[in-house]
Amino acid sequence: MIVVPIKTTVCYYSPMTPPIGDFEQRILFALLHLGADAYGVTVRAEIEDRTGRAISAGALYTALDRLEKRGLVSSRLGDPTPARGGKRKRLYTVEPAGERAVAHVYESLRLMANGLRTRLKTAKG
Amino acid sequence: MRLLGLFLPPDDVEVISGDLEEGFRENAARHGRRRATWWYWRQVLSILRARVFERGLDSPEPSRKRNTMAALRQDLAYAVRSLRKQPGFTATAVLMLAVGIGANVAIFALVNAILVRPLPFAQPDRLMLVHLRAPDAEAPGTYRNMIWSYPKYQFLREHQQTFESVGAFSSWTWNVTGSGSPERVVGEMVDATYLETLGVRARVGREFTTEEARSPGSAPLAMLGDGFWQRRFGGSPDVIGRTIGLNGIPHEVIGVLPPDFRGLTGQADLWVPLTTLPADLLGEKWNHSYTVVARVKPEVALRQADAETRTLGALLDQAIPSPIAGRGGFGASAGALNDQRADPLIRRSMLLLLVAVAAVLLIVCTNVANLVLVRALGRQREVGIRLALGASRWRIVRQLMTESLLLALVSAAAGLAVAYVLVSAGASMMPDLRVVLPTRGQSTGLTRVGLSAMSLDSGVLLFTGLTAVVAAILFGLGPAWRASRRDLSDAMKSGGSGSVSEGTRGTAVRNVMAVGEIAIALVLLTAGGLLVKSVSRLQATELGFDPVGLMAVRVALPGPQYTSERATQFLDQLVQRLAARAEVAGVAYGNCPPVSGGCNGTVATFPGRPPVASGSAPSVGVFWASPAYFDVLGIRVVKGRVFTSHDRAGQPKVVVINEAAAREFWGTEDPIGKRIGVGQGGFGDGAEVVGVVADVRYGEVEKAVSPDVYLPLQQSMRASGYLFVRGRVSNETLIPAIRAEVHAMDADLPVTDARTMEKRFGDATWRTRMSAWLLSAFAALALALAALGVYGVMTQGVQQRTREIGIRLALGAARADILRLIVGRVFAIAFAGIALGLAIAIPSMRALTALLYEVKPGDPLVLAALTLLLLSVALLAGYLPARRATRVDPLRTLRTE
Repeated sequence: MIVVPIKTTVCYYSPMTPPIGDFEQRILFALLHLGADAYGVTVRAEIEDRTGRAISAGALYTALDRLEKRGLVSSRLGDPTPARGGKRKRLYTVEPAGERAVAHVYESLRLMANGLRTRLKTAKG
Repeated sequence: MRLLGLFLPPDDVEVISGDLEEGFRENAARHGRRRATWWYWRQVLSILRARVFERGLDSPEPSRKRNTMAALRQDLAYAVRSLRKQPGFTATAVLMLAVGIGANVAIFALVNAILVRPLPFAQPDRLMLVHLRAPDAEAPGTYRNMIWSYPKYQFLREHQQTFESVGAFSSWTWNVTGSGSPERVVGEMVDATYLETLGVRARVGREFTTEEARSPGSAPLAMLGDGFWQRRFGGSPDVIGRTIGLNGIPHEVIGVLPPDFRGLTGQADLWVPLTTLPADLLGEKWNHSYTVVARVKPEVALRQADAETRTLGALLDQAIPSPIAGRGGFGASAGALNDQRADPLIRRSMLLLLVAVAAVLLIVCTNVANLVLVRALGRQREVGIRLALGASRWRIVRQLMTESLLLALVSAAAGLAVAYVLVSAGASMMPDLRVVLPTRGQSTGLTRVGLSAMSLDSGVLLFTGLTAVVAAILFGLGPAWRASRRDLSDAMKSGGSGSVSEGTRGTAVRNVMAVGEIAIALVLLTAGGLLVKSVSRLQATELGFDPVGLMAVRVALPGPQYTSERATQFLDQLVQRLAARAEVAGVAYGNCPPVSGGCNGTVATFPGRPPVASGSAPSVGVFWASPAYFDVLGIRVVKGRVFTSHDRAGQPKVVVINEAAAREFWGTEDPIGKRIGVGQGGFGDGAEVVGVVADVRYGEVEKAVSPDVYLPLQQSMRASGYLFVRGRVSNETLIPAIRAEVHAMDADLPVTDARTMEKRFGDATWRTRMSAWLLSAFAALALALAALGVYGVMTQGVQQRTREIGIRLALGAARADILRLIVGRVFAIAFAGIALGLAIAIPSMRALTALLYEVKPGDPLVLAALTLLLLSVALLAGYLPARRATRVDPLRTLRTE
């Protein structure tokens, strides 16, 4: 994996950059929930617990990669633990651009959903 | 994780495998190990899939790569759809390819097990066999490899510097007593370092220490093989410290070896230190009985090790000079263990089969290529439109190749199933393969070691994949290339009715393919025919005895309890008691059964004749026989008499010789009354020849008989040998009767190796029969496929010429003319194929010479018969479409145009 250094001050999220996908949105939400303890296993557990749907490791790492390349998240190698057979983990943090992207998504959804709350709730029912 | 390492940078591998491991543990705790393993592999696959398809992201031209990926997926989906649309074509092609690939995989699995796969020892590439080099008496100036005597081995062990470790062993058999019925067990007498050299450790208990295995007179110890341990002791670890009787001497069991280890002989169940042998036997400098295996130091090259061993060999000759003056030095050499794993003849048979089965696949590919071509031409319009719409030729070829590749891979999967069936059938059809292989030299032991590991392993899987790809290129590329070359306007113009116009070039290509198929089939048929004839000659060989209804069982009287007198008495009485039984028609005792090889031999001398130059004394086979031996085995007496009960100890020593000995030693003189000495059994000073008997094939059936001398058992005891029994009842009743009689006299004496002489003959000719059988099967397959090919080519030819035939008929041609027209073409193809086939077969069959028996590679009868067979099959295959051509309705053909 090539980590492309991107200055976050320059690269900011705007509606003009390619929109982030459904799955990537969920990952960003999960990272925000997890804070300092966000890595492969916990991100997956977070999404699976919240949505009740299993996700594949392949999709997860690919999406995390893509998010990192786009400067929406950053990662660093953490410490090894015995439960992992002494292997290090990669810890992810949401970059300001990532936070802005989530906020934007949420905001546009919220705006569109305004006035439909009751109906959407019964539809989900 | 090595798998992931191929696709991911190392940091990612660590992180991801860590994540997966953590996930696995959590999953295992929640859902159990099996589900967790399932989950784990699903994740690994998903990561690989994601990596393979997303790789383009890192490349400078992401969009193009991604397009390629998408195009590939599109091609694949399209291929699946189009193959499903024509199930008849797909099924035919897959069936043929599956048989072709399956046969290739099965033969490769056999070759892989015997010749290719690393031997199942630690770092087998560093193991060498060290030999003495003996001057060959039969071919002066040449040397042959020889095994070691213990003092010579000791010299090697103490003076060598190139090997990390050196070990010696000798195949041995014991009568095992204590806990359970007595049995005869094969094992190895070994030096302490033998197991260490091979890198094998005890799975239960411990190994011999150097101290224990090298100091003569130390307490007798034994290690057990896993199979023997399970069988006799139910796999109980309590066996350690217990004693078992080996040839009547108690041995303490100190360890059990791992399940897949059967020693370098490939059949050992028991290991005992060499020092258990009597000191005088072990100390004998000229008792060459021990094979030496060595592990080269990591930094030493094999060639260097050989060179240093040769230097050491010269020193060895100085230290232990040959007692026979002028015989020349022995010397020593070392060769890679792996090079000696198969008898050269077996190696040759295997390579032959590999070539034959590849030829079958070639015919299959030709047939499939033909099918694919017809199919591709049927799609001319589709291809034309795609080309017109701007698809590149490469794109079209790729599309068609994707279909071929898919076809080949599906067939390969089916072929694996075929191979699996063949391999398991082969393994169960030859259950005693490991016993059957003639025990000639060390190599057959290693063949056994290799064979025991025959399976469909990763090497075989890789071979299957490669075969599929090569096959796809063979049958797919040509047609794809041709189909995509079509002239645009041409293709668009030709109607959509499915009628295919192909031009004379296409027809010519097809004809050439049919010719090639016939040629290959003829070559295979010839090879198969020659081997079958060899087998029939082998079956008809004059063996010198009558194997029908003759049973041989092994009885070995253990040395310590049976002195020479006691053994004589025992065997005498045993033979008498057996002869008195109602089940038995005749019984005799001899030391070595015919057609088994490995019999005993020595040098002959002639009292009264001037002494010959040392080293040039003639060698003879030496056999011990009870009086009834010749009668029971059905060996014809040519002259004089055979032994009687009067030829006992104290009486004048007498011998019987075979015709070969009479011819070689006395020429036209009458040998009766002459004297001959043999250096064994106390007959060195000479004995009177009282009779001449027919030549018996004791060694390999294929080899001519050499001079043999028989000694009367009662003048010279041989306590280890075979009872030959002609029964009046079935073998199922006879064997227990023999066993009961033996046990009535000595309850601890095992009766083993009970096989009829017919069975022994079958086993001895195993290699030739197996090659002949398999090769004929391949040849028959090739014949059927070639016939199918000719049929296909002719059917298409007729279809293409329907219009022409219709016009000819309309213009007044007779149906017989049409028949002649088509059959004429079949003749031309068949003759061209046969001519090409003979041109290949006649010179290439010389490679078979070593495998043939009493058949010349260019045997005219075989060639003529098979050519005729092939010609008639080809004509029949071509006749059917020709007949169809004569039934063409001229009106209908003309109307459809």
